[in-house]
Amino acid sequence: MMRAVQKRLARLGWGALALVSVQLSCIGPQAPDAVICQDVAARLCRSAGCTAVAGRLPGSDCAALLVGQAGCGTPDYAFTSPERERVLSCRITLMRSEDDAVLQCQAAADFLEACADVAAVYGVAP
Amino acid sequence: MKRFAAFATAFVFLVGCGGIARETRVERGPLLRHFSREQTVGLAGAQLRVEPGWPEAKFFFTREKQCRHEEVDEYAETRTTVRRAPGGGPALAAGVSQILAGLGLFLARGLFSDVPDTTRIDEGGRYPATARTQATIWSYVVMALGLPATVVGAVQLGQQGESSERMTAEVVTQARESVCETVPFSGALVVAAKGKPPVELNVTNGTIVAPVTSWVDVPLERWTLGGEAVHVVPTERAKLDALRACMRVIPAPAPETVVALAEAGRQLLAQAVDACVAAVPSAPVDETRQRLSGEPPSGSLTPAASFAEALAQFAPEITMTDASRLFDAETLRGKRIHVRSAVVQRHDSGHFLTQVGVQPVWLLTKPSAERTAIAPGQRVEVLATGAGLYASQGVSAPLLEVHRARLAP
Repeated sequence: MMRAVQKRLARLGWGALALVSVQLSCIGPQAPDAVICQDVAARLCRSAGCTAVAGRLPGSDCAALLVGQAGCGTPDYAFTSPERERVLSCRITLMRSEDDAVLQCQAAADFLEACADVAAVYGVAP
Repeated sequence: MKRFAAFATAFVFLVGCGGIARETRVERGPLLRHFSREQTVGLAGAQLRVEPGWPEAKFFFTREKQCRHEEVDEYAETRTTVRRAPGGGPALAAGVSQILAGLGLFLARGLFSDVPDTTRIDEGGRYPATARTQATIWSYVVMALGLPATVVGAVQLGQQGESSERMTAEVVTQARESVCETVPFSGALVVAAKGKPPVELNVTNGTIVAPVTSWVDVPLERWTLGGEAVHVVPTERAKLDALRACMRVIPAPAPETVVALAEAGRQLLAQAVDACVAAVPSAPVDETRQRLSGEPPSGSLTPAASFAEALAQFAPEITMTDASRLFDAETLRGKRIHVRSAVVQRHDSGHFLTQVGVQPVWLLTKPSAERTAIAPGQRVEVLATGAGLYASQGVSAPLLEVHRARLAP
């Protein structure tokens, strides 16, 4: 009886510890604002050729132009308005379906519509 | 915090002591002494003793005490308890190994890179954990997993050992039990027959002299004296059964009832007569015997006698007329009775419901010319014997077994 309880407790302890450790071991340091800003520009520019956003994004050297427009080319760049959390929440839209070109185009269009304030940082018209 | 610490300590000892096997060895030493002792135990309930008689019997109730005499040997005894924890060593080894492995990983964490993979940023804007962070966390995990096993193993190993206790032990070598004290048991004797109101009799000084009526026939399990059960030894039960046999044969069953009995029934009745007489030699069973043998009963009337002659021959003990007092069935039972009554109802079974003054009386008649002539509204005069209580058509009244009847002049 007591041995069965011991075994069950041991299993529970193992499970809980493994879960916590997996969670903890997945969390690393925060990425700087400049890197986030450049990542958003790169993701947005993957859809530059889509008809849904035609004419609203630069046709060539898109990412470099957007980064230059936003001014986040330097490592000490920091988000002010909109704030970092706002940019991150808009970035989630662009992280959808990275392998599907059609869905990517739709995500870019959604981004420009829903996150006009963020798009304005990159000099992209709503 | 204190509560948590107390709980944790209790938990550790509970879990740690779970795997401990205890083995107790008893070694008997030399005989210290030999002695005798007496124990007295009061037995529950009342014991019944019966002194049969008719129409009254004596019942004695006693409370018994049982004495137990014991011969006892007292020995010295050593009780040794050995506690083993077969899982303690392996648990401790496993726990320590895990802690050492975790410690090693922790100490070696500097060997892992502390640079995150910058090509991946999660939804929260964070890089994945560095290899050093992962190694550090896992070292904590491995150490944490080893800690309980280490504690449990240590506790179990700490509990191992042997303890001895010296004491004395008694061995009863011989025991005798006997009833050593009997005292009269007085109180209210309650006999509760099923479906009837209980009969309550007062037992004084452990004795009661009571008429042998229907309460005697109630099973002993339904008797209580002072709220306690009544017990009886087999010899006394036989006497009680003999009284019950007397109740079946006194007064004598109606002749037509005896005639209607099968041979087996007649034999049972004869056995009841014998049992009754064996216990109560003076029991009036002659009439029953005569009816069983087919002879006319001594109290019966010859067919040739006129009613006046029959009345003289019958010598009634009780005369019931409209002016008489009320009689209960038990008072009339077995008595020779002269009755004048008004017929109220007539039944094919030979039963007549009659009225003596305000008292209803059942008459049981034999087939005869006189019976044929009797009809409701008439007055009759009968010579009869009381036969107990009879209930029919919602009327419960004394039953009289008619020997002779005529329309009242």
